[in-house]
Amino acid sequence: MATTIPIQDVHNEHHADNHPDHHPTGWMRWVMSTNHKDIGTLYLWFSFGMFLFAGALAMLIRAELFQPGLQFFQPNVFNQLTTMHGLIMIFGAIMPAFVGFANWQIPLMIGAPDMAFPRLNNWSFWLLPMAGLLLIGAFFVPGGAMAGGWTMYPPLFIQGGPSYDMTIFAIHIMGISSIMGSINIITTILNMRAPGMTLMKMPMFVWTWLITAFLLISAMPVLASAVTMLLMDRHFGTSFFNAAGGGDPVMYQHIFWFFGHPEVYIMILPAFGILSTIIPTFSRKPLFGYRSMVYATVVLASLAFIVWAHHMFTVGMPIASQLFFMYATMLIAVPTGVKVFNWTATMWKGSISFETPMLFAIAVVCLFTIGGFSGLVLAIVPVDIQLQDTYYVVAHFHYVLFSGAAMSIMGGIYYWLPKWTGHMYDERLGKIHFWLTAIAFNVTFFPMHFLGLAGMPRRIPDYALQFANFNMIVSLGAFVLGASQLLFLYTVIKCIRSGAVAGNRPWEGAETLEWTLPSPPPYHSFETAPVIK
Amino acid sequence: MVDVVGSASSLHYAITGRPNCSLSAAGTCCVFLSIATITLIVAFGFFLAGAWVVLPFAGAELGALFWSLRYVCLHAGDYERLTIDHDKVLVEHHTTKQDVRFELNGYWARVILDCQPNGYCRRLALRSHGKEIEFGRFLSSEERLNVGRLLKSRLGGYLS
Ligand SMILES: [Cu+2]
Repeated sequence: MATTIPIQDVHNEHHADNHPDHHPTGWMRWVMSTNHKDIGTLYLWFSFGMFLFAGALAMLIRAELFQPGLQFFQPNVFNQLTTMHGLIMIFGAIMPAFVGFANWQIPLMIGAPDMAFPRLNNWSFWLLPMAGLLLIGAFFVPGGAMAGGWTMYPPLFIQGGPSYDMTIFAIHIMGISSIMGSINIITTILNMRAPGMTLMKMPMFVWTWLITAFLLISAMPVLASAVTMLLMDRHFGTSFFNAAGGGDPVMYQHIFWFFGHPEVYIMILPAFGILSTIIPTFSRKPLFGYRSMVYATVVLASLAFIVWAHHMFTVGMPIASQLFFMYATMLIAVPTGVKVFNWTATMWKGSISFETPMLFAIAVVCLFTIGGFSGLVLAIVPVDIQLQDTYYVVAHFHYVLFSGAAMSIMGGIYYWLPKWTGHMYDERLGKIHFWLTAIAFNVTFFPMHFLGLAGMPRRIPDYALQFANFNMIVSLGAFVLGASQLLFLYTVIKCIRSGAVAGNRPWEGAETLEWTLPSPPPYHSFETAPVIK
Repeated sequence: MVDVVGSASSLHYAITGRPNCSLSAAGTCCVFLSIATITLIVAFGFFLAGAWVVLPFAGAELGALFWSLRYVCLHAGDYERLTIDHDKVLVEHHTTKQDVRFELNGYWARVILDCQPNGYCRRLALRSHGKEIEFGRFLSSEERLNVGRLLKSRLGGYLS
C-alpha cells in the first residue's frame, strides 16, 4: 500500500497533473485546454460563428421572400435553407452559447477551481466543430443539404440523399457532446460548491443550468434513438416509421416532440438564469422571490415532459388527448408568470440604470412575454388547427428563441465581458447594437403574426399576392437585424483588444462570487473555497 | 481546504489539504437514482410503444453517468499531507488507488512558492536534490501563501 520514496528517486513525472502550471501557448493552448475559461471561450466563439452562418441562411430566405414569385432559389434549395437555418441555430448557435456561459460562470459562481471533469470538458467542446463541419458540408454533397424541415419527419426524411445521413451523424455527435457536458455540469454544481454555498444560496443562473442539465440527460437518449431509427429505416430495412412496411410515421412525431419540447426549455431556462442575474444587478436590489424562482424552474422542467403533443394537434389524435395536452400546455403560463412577475417586482422601486445588459434584459422580459402569449394562443386546439404551419407559429417561436434566448445571450455577453476580458465594452456601440436589434427584431417578426393569421403557410418560397407588403417589411427588418449583428461582433472584438480597464466589480450592484475575483480572473480561479457569508 | 495540526514552533506538526466535496455519498446515490428513474420510465414507455431503440441509448447514458459519479465518489477521500517531525519532512499524496510518500530532509528542503504580480499564488512545492514535490493542489491561493510562509519559517530556505 503505502510506499515511502526517498527524494533522490523521485522523477519529474509527478509534475504532470491536473493543473498544468506551464500551460501551452499559441493555438495548442486552445486545442489542449482543459481550463473551464478557455473552453467557455471556445464554445462562445463557435456559437457565434454558427450564429452568423445560420443567420446568413436566414438572409437568403428573406431575400427570396422579399417579393412573391421565385427570385433566387429553386424550391428545393429554399427548403434546404429553412431546414438548416433552424437546425444550426438550435444545435450550433443557441445551445453551445449557453454551454459557454455555463463553463465560464458556473465554477466562478459557486467558488470551484474548475469543472469536475476537465478533460471530458475538452472533448465535449471539440466534438462540436466536427458536427458543425458535417452540417455545413451537407450543402455540398449531391442532392444538397437536408430539406425536410429541422424536425426531420418521415417519410420525407427516409427518402433523402447522403446529406441526411450526415445530419444524423452530426446529431449523434452533438448529443454525445451535450450528455458529457451535462454530466460535467451536474457533478460540478453538486459536488464542487464552496463551503457555505448551500443549494438555496446558489445564484439563479446556476440553478437554471442544473435543471437544464437534468432535462438534457432525460431528453437526449430520446433524440438519439429517434434519429437512429430513421437511419435504420433508411439503410437497414427496418420499418419503425415507414408506413409501407407497417411502421407508424406519427410515432416519430411523438418521439421527436417528446424530446423537442424539453429542448425548448433547454434553450430558455439558462436565459432565465441570465435575466435573474442581470436584473437585480442593475436594479440594485436582490432578486425578488428567489425561492419561488427556483420552484417555478423545477415546475417548468416537469411540465416540459407532459405537453409534447401540442406540436401535433392536427395528426388526428383523440379529443381526450387534445384536451389533456391543451390544458397541460396552458399550465405552463403559471410558472412562467411567476418568473415574469418576479423580474418586474425586482425592478419595482429599484434604482435602475440602463446599461446595455439591462436594456437587453428588459427587452427580453417584454418580448419573451409576447412569445409566451402567442404560445398560449397556439395551445388552444381549435385555434391551433387554424394556425398550424402558418407564419403565426414562425412569429411565436422567434419571439421565444430570438428575443428570449438569443437576446439573453447578447445581454449576458455584455454583462460578463468586462469580467472575461478585463476591459469595458464600448457602451455607446452596445446601446446602438441593442436598439438596432430590438427594433429590427420587431419589424421582422411582429408582422409575421398578421401573415399567419391571414393564412400564409411557413416553409414556402412563393406566396399569394396579398401577403406581399408585409413580407417586404419583414425582409427589410431582417436585413437590418442581420447587419446589426456585425456591429455586435465589432463591439466584442474591440472590447477584447482595448477599452477602459474594468475593475474587479465594474457593476456596483453585482453580488455574485465571480466579481470578487480580478478581471480577467486568474487561470485557476478558486483552487478551493472562498467563504460564503 | 487545509487543516493544520500543531504550530510552527513545535517540532512535530502536520498540514493536510483536501478537495472540497459538497455532495455526500448518499446525495450521489439520490442524484443517480432520480435521473435513472426518470430516464428508464421514459425509455420503457417508448419500448412499449415499439421504439425499443431508446433503451440502449438510455442504458449507455446512465452507464456514463454512473461511471462519472463513481469516479467522483472514489476521489472524495483524496488528500495531501505534509508532516514535519524534527528534521524529517514527509509529503503524502493519497488517492484511492495509491498512497505515495516522499521523504525529505528538513534542512535541505526548500520552499517554492510561485506567486504572480497580482498576488495570486498558483503553486507551492518543496525542492530537494533538484526534484520538486508539489504540495497544495487542494489549497486556495491564500492558503498556499500562508502554508508557504509557515513552511519557510520552519524549513531550510525560501525561494520566491
Ligand atoms: Cu412545445
